[in-house]
Amino acid sequence: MVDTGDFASVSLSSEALDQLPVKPKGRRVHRDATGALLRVRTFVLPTLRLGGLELHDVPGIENLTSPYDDDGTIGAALLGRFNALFDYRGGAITLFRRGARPETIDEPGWFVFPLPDPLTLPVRFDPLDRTYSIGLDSGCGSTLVPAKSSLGRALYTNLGEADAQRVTDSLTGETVLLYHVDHCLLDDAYDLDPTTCAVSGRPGYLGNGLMGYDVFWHNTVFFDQAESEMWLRPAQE
Amino acid sequence: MEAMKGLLLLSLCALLVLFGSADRGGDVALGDLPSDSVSTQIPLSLGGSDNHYPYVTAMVEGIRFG
Repeated sequence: MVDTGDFASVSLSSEALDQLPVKPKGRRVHRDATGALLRVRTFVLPTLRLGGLELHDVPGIENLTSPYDDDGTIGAALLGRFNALFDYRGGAITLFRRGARPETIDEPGWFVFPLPDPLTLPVRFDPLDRTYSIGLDSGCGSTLVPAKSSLGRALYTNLGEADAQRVTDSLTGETVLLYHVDHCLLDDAYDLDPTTCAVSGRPGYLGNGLMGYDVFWHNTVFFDQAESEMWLRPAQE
Repeated sequence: MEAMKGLLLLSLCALLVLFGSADRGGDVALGDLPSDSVSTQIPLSLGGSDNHYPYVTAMVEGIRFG
């Protein structure tokens, strides 16, 4: 899985790690994007090939928590070395040298936003009256997972439980509140998705919450690491 | 009582070391695109229980994953 919310270069499942002639080097405490602390084994992969990219001496950690049957994740420390174009509908991720951009960036229809941190951007949610720093997490299957202590509390305070629907979180199995937010504004310029929903549950760590699947599905997303910018172009529905 | 205080202090120190050292695992991999390439395109498929997660194929030590 390509997971911009995983801070490591590479995480591998225990089963995948066992298939490799790689010996874990040690253990350390790792914090994931939801704020959970995990004690993981560390290792170094001599080579990893991803498309035309060949990497050497890739540091990795054992992924102990994936609820899915995957082999592992490619994370932010590796992706962050490149400019990256996420095109879900086109079925591809393209990695560029820093400084390089896709040719389509000159076409009309793009919105550009500053990324104060590598993967977080300021977002305003109606009817809340302040801006929240939200992490972009391709490994987050929900539209939005607000940090419980900040955005989650604000939604609860402003909208109350009557406006929420109780659902079961697919990841943790816990019962959480699902809110429908009318407007989700990036930099006051772009209403990301008028049907955005918010699930209040986990504490959150990357900013005031995480935005996941819907951002990537409804837009082509380009991260320009050198310029600290994120470019969004609404996908053709 | 003093022994208890000492034990408590030691426990606090151990917790600080444990959680204080928690990091984001942000070590950087070495290597790059081939010198004649500006970019590389990696096919992805959407998977997981609700087809919301981007999956790619990676070769690690000659073994194909994904």
